[in-house]
Amino acid sequence: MTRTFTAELMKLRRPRVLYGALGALIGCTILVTVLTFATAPTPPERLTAGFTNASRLVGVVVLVVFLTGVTTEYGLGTLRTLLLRQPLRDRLLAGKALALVVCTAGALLVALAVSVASAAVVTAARGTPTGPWLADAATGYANALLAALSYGAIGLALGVLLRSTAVAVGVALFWFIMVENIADHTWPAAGHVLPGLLAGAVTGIPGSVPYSHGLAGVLVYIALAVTAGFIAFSRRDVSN
Amino acid sequence: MRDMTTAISTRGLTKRYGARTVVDHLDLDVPAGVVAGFVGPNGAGKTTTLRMLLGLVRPDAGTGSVNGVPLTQPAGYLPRVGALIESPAFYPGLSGARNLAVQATLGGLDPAGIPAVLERVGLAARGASSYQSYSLGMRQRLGIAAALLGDPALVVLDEPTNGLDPAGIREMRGIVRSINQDGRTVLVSSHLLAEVEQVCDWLIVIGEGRRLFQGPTRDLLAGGGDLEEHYLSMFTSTEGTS
Ligand SMILES: Nc1ncnc2c1ncn2[C@@H]1O[C@H](COP(=O)(O)OP(=O)(O)O)[C@@H](O)[C@H]1O
Ligand SMILES: [Mg+2]
Repeated sequence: MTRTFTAELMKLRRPRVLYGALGALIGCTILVTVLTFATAPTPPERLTAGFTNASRLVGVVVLVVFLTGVTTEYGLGTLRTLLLRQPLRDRLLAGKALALVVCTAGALLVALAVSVASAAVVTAARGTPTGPWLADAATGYANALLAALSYGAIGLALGVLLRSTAVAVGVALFWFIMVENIADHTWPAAGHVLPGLLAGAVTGIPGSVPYSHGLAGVLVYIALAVTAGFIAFSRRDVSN
Repeated sequence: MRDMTTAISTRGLTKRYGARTVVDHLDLDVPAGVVAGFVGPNGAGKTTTLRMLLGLVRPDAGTGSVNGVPLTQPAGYLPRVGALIESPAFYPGLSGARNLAVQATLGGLDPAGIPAVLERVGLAARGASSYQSYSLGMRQRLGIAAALLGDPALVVLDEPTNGLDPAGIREMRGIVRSINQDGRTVLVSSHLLAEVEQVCDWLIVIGEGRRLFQGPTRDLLAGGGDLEEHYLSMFTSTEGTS
């Protein structure tokens, strides 16, 4: 699995992939942070509030990164090349997932730093007081990472199951941007069961179900997505 | 050079897609050390058969072995097998050499072997260029370089001449021959018998998923007349019966 992991990191050195994903992630975070701190009548005291508010968008970006990490292998036909070198499919997928997890953890750390820094700039400019942020940032980071990984796991599973980048991204965006948003406003139980809303509870988005509930839900979704992804990946024919 | 052990053997190998049987009870035997041609018209089931031999596609029925290891354990034989299936597939943003490095890392192979295989297919000067800048012929050759990584005992090439001009086809024959001269078994597929007959000492001909001929190339010739004629007559006779 270390070989698979290393090989995956080598591929991530493609500049377009790396800068695209990292740029999208940091761009989203800065945008949401600035909006959070610059437009609110009374800006939040927690400097990490922008990072928290960005977590849903960040989650979707992470989902797309995991998803395309799988679907591009189908699209380019490189999956067959990989499987000839590593026929143990579980290990191949595990190494790939691990590389994506490590990259996500790194990118989120950068996003957090950028978000806190831009929040500090905005609050300083507005002359509003802020509370201590370091402890906040640590728990905020851990929760954001967990939430992002639940999106990532779902992206991985969608990628394996649907195999096409366009179809899988379409399904994911439709679900997380349309369906969950509408459900959130129209169906009282939505926050208790839908993956994106549960992830929001983990990151502390206001109006979510209690944290413990979100945590349990997110862990269940990760387990389900990972199981479905691995089973499908190891059983399916590779015929493209 | 040639020993009489078997590089590839299958019995009753079958694959169905829906109601269609695309590979139909194939019994194949490829002796070690030969250049074997795997010939049949487009859609005959060549690629599907090769995918089953490489653990990419699961047979619906039948058994087989590669280098003596059962098809059900591809991890047991693939380390000694190099393959180019269908068209070459690489990461367009990475250089040719880097693409090979990814494969070497994944397979636990020594990356020190990369310059030699690039040299072997005439890509030494362009190894550092990105894959997307390669012509079709260069892509095909990089695919072969990848198949040669790790000193394989068996090299499987699926239509390596596809899309090449006559000069490229001739060059490909030379590469195939030289791979075999190193003592490797080569299985090369083509939809055109004429493209492979000169380099193959063993032939397998399939049509509609069924085996029509298997044996030394000279046996196909033994009936007299031209190989191509035999080839065509095989298909006309299957069309008559199907
Ligand atoms: N994944 C698949 N699903 C459905 N049909 C397939 C699939 N792969 C191949 N086929 C069909 O199987 C037949 C044999 O295909 P293939 O093995 O690619 O033939 P060849 O390589 O000899 O041209 C073709 O008719 C093709 O359409
Ligand atoms: Mg084919």
